[in-house]
Amino acid sequence: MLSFLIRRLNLLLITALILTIIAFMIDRTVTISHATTTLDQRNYIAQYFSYLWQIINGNFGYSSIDQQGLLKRGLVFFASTLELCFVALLFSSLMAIPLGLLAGLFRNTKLDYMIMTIAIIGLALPVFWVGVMAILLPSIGGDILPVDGNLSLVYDIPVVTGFLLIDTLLVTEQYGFFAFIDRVAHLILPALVLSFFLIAEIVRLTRHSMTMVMRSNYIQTAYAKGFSRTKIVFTHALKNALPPIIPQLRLQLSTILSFAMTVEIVFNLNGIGKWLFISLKSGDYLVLPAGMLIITGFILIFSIATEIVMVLISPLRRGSLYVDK
Amino acid sequence: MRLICLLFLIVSLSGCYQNKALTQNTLIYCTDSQPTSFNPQISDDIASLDATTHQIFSRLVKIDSKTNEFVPDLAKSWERSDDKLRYRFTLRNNISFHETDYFQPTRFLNADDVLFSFNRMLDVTNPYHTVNNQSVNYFYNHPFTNLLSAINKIDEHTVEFVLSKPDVTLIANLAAHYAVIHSKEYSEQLLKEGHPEKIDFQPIGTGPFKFKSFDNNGTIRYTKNDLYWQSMTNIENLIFFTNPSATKRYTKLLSGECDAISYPAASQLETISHNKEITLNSKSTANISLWAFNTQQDKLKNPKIRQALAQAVDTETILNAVYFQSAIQTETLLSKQSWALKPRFDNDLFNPEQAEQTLKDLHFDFSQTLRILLSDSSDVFNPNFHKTAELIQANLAAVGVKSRIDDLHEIALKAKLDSGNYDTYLTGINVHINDPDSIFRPLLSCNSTPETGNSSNWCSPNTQVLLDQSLTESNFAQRIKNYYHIQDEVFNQRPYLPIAHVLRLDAISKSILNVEVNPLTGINFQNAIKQDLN
Amino acid sequence: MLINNGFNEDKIQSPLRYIWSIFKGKSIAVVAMWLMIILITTSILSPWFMPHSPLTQDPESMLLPPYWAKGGNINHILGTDDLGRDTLSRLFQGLQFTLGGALTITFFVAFLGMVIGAGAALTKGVKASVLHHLLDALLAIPSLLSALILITIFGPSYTNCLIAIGLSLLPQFIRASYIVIEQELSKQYIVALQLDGATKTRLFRYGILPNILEPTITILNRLFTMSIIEIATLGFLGFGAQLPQTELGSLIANSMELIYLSPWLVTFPGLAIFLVIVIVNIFAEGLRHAVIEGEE
Repeated sequence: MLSFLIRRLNLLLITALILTIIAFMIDRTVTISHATTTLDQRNYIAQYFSYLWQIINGNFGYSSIDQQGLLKRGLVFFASTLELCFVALLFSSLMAIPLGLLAGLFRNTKLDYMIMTIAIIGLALPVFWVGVMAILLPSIGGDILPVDGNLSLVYDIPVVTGFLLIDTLLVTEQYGFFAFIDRVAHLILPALVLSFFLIAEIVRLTRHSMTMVMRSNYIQTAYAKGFSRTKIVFTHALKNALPPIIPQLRLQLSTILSFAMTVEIVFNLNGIGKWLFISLKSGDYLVLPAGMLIITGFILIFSIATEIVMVLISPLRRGSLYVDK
Repeated sequence: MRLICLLFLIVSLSGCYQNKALTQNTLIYCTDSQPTSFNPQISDDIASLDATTHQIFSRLVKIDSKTNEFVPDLAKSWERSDDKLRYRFTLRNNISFHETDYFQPTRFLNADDVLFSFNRMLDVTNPYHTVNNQSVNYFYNHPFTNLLSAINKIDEHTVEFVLSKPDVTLIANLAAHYAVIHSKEYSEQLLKEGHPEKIDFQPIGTGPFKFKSFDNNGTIRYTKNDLYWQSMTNIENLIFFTNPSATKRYTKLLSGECDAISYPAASQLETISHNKEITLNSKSTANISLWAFNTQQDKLKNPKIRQALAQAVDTETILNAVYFQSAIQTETLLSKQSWALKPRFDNDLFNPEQAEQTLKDLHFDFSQTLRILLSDSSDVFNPNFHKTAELIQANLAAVGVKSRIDDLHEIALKAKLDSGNYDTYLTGINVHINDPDSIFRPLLSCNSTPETGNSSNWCSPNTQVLLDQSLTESNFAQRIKNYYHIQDEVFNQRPYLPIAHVLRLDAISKSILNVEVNPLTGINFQNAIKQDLN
Repeated sequence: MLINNGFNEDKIQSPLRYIWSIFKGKSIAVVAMWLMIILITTSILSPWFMPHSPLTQDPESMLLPPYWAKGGNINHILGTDDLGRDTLSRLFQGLQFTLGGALTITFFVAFLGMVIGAGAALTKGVKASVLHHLLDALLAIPSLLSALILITIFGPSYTNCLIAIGLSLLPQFIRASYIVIEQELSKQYIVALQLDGATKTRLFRYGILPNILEPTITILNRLFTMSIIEIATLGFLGFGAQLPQTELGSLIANSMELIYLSPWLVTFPGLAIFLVIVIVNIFAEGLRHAVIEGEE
């Protein structure tokens, strides 16, 4: 177990190091091309190590507009993005996993084609366009759902965790549950739009996984034993079809974040995407390396974490614990 | 089944996600851009003015919104000496500055505060003179520098303004946004703390609302100033929220998330005017949108060429396509309301045939490309620079002139303007006091740079003399005459093609009453009342 | 000449031909294929047959609705924009940029990705290990972010936007093709080939390439879909095609202010993107099914 962890951690460190090199290169390029003062001409390697030291100390640079630390601000924005992704993921899993399982079970039937058509439509609807069309909602239906912003401005919520769903629950003394409900209402539309894409992905993955499982020998054996189809599906197939989706979905994480950033910009949500977008538009280029490190850092840590969890829950993968490379 | 659950959830949420008790005494104003600071003395963009002038601060004098006369505000009264050089202001008693968590005033407003507020701008030795104000250009356009010779404290509640020569514009200047009164005590406290720059970002004033917070998402929060000396309304919390998209602002107005919005999209004005729950407030301003010809550029040195190019442009179509009903077509730099306006009745303002003929006669080089410089973001005087430029480009192509559109971002644009290497520039100018000088000086004075307004690089001794003379001229008829001469010269030399005078527009929900908008100094929520329509 | 026709021999079709014959039986996929061909040719040829140029302004007919709506005009089938330019012509021009860009990206990324992916799968040791870590790092950067980074450095323009999207999709493609080839490599017939002493190029050309057709179609389809979406997204955010180039995403962004006045201007470009993606996906899905059936 320990050697496995060390091996994983090793990989994490190397990848993280590469990322800091990339961040450093971006940092240099943007500061040089937009610099007003001449920079000192030390060699790049020495500069890189001092940059790395700053990063390790949690100093991701300062905004060139208001001289605020970028790490703290970036993390607060990123929390918002994660919240959006999480809600969308929850929502789309609820919709897509049953659909994907059905499609996999009834492969190449009308039902399967119908579900796959829904998935293709979900994939093909451009996220930003759906967001723009949602603007028309208040003019048609009046006051149905908010289409813009994180939270109604009436609520002045102090930032504690950055996750507004939690932060709004912390101020129930002042506002009751209204702030929380307001937050949920503001999340519905963006999360829905984001989950269009996610549903397409999850349906595809679940269907594939289910098909593979239903073709496997142990399911055939179960059929041969004369078990009913329902029983086979619920006791054997489901258990084995769902876990393989998780690592597949993990590979999509950066795509999901990419879409989430677009959704934020369109719906004007305060997340890392909108932060980067607005900062770049107003000429604050140093947010790029900082934002990149925050996002990629999260993706790396999350990948390692899922891998460890997968090893713990899936017997097939547990093998890698004992294999020495 | 799941869908039904979801629908049920949505319906139940939409019913109650807006909390009536909280929204009742909160007014949310959605603006198009963020203030650059909270001091109208150093930032004169509209967003900063809206956010500060009438909300946080007060001035010695103000303009009555109904009669348009100057009435006392922080001053109780004023009197003018017989030689017209001395104005003596008596201040009101018991006016308190804002009490906030970052400043608690220990005394009421007195003459020292007035002196501090003006000396910060005028006195180079004042410790605050350079705080948040490094640019040299700023004082140039500033009227007080030439106007005042001294400000004297007579006693605790009397201040005397001494003019360098008789000038009628003093009172108008004292009612303008840059004449707001700051607290001297607060400035001393900040100096002691070592953060003098905070004076413009955590402001203390005497206005009806006090500053609470400004976060990096563009939300400004104010709370009611309980110590305000005049009657107040039922607005407890005032919130300014920045959203650059006009469509989004209007959507939020419809959904009730904003109570008032600034600058609704020009293209949506018609839709808005049909909406019975929204009042459209429009005020004509002297703000003008123009197309500047760089007179220092060789290909544009000949005034006849500039004339011809101006003739080729169909401003009426620009107005219809870009501004819809949000601006008034114009042929002059001054607005129709200005007393110095020289009326003009010309028929051939748009005459492509004649333009083409003139260009041919002048042997204009049709193979060269005329560059049209513009900012890549929209501004209050032009909702869509690029669209305007595209129309101009089509007009120019019709007379055989090739052109190229250069959209530049803020920093690159500034560098380009500084270098002087541009042909024409689509721009505009904000006017903050109702005086012809405030339009002509930035646009035409030799001392003005492209950045401060003179984007045609215009410098003519004749104009300069006229400008300087009219500023000190006490004979009103002569002043008008001077301005007429300037207007004639502008018309003949064509450094600028005026396109439109832009309206100041605000869309306000019917549930909000008594919002006053002053096109020069900004919006005023002091008397606003929010009523429950349901 | 003796014609030996005594044995009534079944002609064995080449695999590709066989797949094609199965594909022809799938009517929806065939329709999608024809639509795709029509879409590409019309958008390329549109400047020659469209009655209006996408840049001609017409102050007389601004903001016309499509001809079936009230006030529409048959001269402008899908109406006009706020400067009186014909929406249909602009849509075709937009398609040219979006679709053309996506095809270019797909072609280059597929070629480079396949080469690098195969190289990585066929080599072992330090080179492969370095590549892996680099890929891990690059994969962790969301494609929108890497596009933003590249555009900030090189400045916004249509070409830079294509390069940025291509570079951001490349790691994903390399990884995907690497996995596919790696899976193939562990199969027994490859081992047999290797034991025969086949060189690496030969192994790749005859051993692997013919057998990874089905997953390749899936990857290519995904690549194409993602590049369309990203071109449009960057265009929408103002980082892609610069005016007066009209790309479908930037068309939407430029008409956003007009959404209440003429919602058509926002609806049509979005629908166009949607339709292109749907058509390509149906075509690819049909092809994939044909390949699977052909292999079975």
